Amino acid sequence: MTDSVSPSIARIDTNPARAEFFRLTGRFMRSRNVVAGSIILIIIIVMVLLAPVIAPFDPTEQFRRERLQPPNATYWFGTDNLGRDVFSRVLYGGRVSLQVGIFSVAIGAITGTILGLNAGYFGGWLDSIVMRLVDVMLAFPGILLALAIIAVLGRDLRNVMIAVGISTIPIYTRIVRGSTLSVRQIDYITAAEALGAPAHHIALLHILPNVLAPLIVVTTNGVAGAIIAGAALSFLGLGQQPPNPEWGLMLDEGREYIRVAAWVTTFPGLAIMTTVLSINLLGDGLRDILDPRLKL
Amino acid sequence: MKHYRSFKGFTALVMGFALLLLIATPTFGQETEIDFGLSFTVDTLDPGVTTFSGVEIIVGHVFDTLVKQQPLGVFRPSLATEWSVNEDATEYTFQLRDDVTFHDGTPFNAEAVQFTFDRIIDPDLNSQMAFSFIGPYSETEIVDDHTVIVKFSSPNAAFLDGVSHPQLGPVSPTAVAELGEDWGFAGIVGTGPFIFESYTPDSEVVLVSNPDYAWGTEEVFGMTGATNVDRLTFRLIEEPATRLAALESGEVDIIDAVPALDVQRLSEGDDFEVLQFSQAGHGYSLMFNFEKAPTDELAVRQAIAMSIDIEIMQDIVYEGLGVQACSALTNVMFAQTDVYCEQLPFDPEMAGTILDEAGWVLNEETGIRERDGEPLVIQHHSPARPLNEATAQFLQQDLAAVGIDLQLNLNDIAAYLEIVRAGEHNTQQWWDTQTDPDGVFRTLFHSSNADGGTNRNRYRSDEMDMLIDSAVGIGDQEERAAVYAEIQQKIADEAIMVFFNDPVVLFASVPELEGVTILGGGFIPNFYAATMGG
Amino acid sequence: MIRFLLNRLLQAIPTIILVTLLVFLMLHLTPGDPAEVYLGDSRSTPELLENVREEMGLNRPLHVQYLSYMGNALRGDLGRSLQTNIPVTEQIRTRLPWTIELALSAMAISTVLGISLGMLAALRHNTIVDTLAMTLALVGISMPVYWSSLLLIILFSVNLRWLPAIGQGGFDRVILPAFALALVSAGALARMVRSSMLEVLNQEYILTARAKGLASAAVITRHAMRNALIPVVTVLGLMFGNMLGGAVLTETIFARLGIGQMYVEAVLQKDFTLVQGTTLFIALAYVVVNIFTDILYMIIDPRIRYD
Repeated sequence: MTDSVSPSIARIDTNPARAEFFRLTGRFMRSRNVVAGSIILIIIIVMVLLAPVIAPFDPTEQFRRERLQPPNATYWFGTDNLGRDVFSRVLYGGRVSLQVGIFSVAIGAITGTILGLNAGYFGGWLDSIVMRLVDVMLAFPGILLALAIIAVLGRDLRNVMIAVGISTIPIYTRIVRGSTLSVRQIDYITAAEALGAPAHHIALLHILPNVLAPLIVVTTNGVAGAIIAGAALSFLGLGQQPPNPEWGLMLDEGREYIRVAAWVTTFPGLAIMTTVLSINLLGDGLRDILDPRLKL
Repeated sequence: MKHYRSFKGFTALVMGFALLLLIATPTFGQETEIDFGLSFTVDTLDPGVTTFSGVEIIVGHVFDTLVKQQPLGVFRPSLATEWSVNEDATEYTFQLRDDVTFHDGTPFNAEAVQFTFDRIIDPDLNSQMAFSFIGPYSETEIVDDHTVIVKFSSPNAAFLDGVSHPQLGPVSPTAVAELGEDWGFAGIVGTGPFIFESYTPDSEVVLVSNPDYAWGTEEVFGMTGATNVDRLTFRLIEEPATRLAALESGEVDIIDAVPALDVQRLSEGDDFEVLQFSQAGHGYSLMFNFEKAPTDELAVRQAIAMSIDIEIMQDIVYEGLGVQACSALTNVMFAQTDVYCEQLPFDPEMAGTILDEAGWVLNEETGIRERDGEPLVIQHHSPARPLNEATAQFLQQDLAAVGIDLQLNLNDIAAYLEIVRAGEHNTQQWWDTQTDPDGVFRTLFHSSNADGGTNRNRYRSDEMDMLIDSAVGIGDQEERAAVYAEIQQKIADEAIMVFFNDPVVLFASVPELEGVTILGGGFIPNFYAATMGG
Repeated sequence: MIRFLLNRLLQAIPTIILVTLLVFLMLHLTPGDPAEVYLGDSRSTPELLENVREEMGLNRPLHVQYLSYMGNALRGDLGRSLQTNIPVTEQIRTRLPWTIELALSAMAISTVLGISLGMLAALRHNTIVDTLAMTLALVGISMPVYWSSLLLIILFSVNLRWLPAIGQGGFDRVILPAFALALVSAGALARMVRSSMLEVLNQEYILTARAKGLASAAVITRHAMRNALIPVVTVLGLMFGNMLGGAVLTETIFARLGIGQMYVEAVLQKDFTLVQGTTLFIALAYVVVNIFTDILYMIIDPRIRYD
């Protein structure tokens, strides 16, 4: 992949011609992360969305005589302890895991952005209250929050998303507030204020776009983190309710068989890994491109 | 008797012991240490208070019992040298050993026995297991320093069984008073062959040999006197894969609850020995809530019982270990009958017919049966644990095949208990270990346990109560068995529960570990007579 | 400096009180009853349940329960576990050293791994080394910790027999769990170090220093590293908190004594006193770590002042 870039020229150089060359290769590298991440992710999303078409079997149907079959021509990823097709379960399970990733981050990011934007822009007592709340939430063990939410609302997918989402609110609040504070000082915003533009106008049209870059980066990484958090909750017996598959639940159900039927856990494990990896690649690439401070 | 290793190899054990004495001399100074990787957690080491059956394994080494039971139903002298029971099983007279002291030097005598038993029925102790074992206890009369009469308010034929469990093992009255609130975790003091050394919650319990131990039940252990095991450590390892790894990496010498699928792999090699024992008491089963529709209906219960492909379930859910259950009593229990399996075999067609006749008609569109527009939905509740999850999903597919919609609610323990104690479930899974039929039937079917207690069938029947209460007072074994047969007939007639599997208890150990005695009907390993050869 | 510390500690008080209040309300207003859990699936009657409830003090009005708990806590008495009757302070005391050992070892491993991977990637930016290092970092982040833990046990304890799988005590027992726990944060750290190094390396003063002919190594250590470390300290501070969460699964799988594993058990069993006591403790730890992070900032970057 990197044949064209030899180590000797990769060192930082002040020669302008070479610097230009780096800018181009750099862009290429950066976008290559984005391209690689997006391609893998799109493949995963398409496969997961087309699960009903692609999956050879019903993910919950038990072929009991065929239990714990190693991967073969019929069952590409083998079968689990109840004789269910692991491949079909990984496909369907992805729907749940991806949903958890996306929706919980949406909950966290939207709430966090609103809080952070307001706190950073208006400052004063609002800022104090929001930041104190954020402090409390950060000092509050996330696992308890998740358990409490699931205890109140019951064990199901939607509640897992809410639980994971709420526990990430403080992260987004902090980031958005920080960026808002720094953006506020920029001349054209002070100018807009001086011209008497309404606050929500300034916040939405001038500040938000500037905050977006770090937010996108953190959000993509957050999706990855949420998938793992959702899986961990399933692993603790608090996530997805059986029999519907979810990657974390599949790891949980298969862990007793890890020594004799490793495929039951290997494939959902790999699925989590690949998905999280591709999302992180994407996030990294976006970060390189979007983060205005990181210019080569 | 092939289940009981210590009996099968009784002579070999004695010889092995003699041999060990011979080879022990040159290796003097070499400490025998045994590490046991236990799947259980510990609530408290107070035998009178614990609610965890696994704790019995640990405290059984620290506390002697008045009598020892081995095999099931055969009682041998231990702290009591002899005993007698009156006609209606309301008074038990025990002759106590006069040469026994507790680990703290307190003499063991009639007063200690009285103290132990009185303590258990003290309402402030909130005792449960010990409280069940002691039955309708009223008082202990001290005849002389080493003779007691234990009296009951109603007949209690199961008391010898109860008193063979360490939950009723005499505790040192001075130690209990001295340790106060800290008794049960900072220390426990009994008369047993091992002395408590330390307990680190969620981690380990360390016991050391009691050098002054000069007694012991030879008929059970093949030896008396101080144990050769200098140090016995129970390591609490809940995670099955880790527990197994600890054995395979040599960190522990024996583990319990061997993951079923690894049994074959372990048995095939020479590095480990796998021990299997049929479990006493009650196996894996399903409870029906009699006070919530639609499981309040006989037809529904019968249909569910007959829809479950019980034979293949043994392979799928229980990994081919143990046998199909046919009663609330496992197949090694006294008075067990097979009438349930005869009356309610796997027959999905019949199940369909029963439901049709009861008005539950299949809705072709949904695949679920309906009556008056009401779908046949069963709310199933269980704690979220791998075995429960496998069982529940297995049931779900079989019931769906006859048009019953089993909805799974696998939750954390607190949420589960809240629902089933309130009786909001239709079905829940059950497992128990006991050694006397009375305990099993009382736990599951007596109305006194129906208000959120263990009778989550919420089954209330005066006739059943009377049968259970009368059986426990019958001294004659045959007559008692006849009543128990009647109870089992009633269970089958009313399809009160579904019985899945009579489990085996699995241990795996390094081959050097020998002489482990398995008590409690196959559930309780004891290391008093154990040796580490090799 | 002392004024700053005092100020921070004072600010922390309302935070901690709010945390305990929230935890208290959450525990009490969610379904599940510690008395029911205590009785479990054992034989029990409604009277017995009531008796246990009474003894646990659950029948008192909520505000009385909270105030009496906080009153005792102020006097240093965190009460006894509802489920095991072991004093909460005792429970924390026996576990805390092991959690700290695990967290510190994991942080040490991930710092070494993360900083070296990150520096390597930054200095060899846009080469195969960079790509490999970052892929490795991503794999670390992407592995669910309980999966990697099990794989580590099977590889190093069972197959190779190099390291013990379970328990605590002795240096060898902390390696595997610490490594499993470190993988995730090492990956995150490596990415952080890489990007902040790149940023610093391209700032004018570094370019100037290089232009003046200063040796690369000197530039890197004297100028670049120091500045690149600031975000690293932030991440380390946050990491310590995450360690506790990640430790839950690691501790469970490696059968290791620790706060995390105890905490989850306590929450699941509705062991109010144990959860409250541990929460109080975790919140305090969070505050202390935060203050510590701020002090580290000041040491690394003398320009930062808190007044």
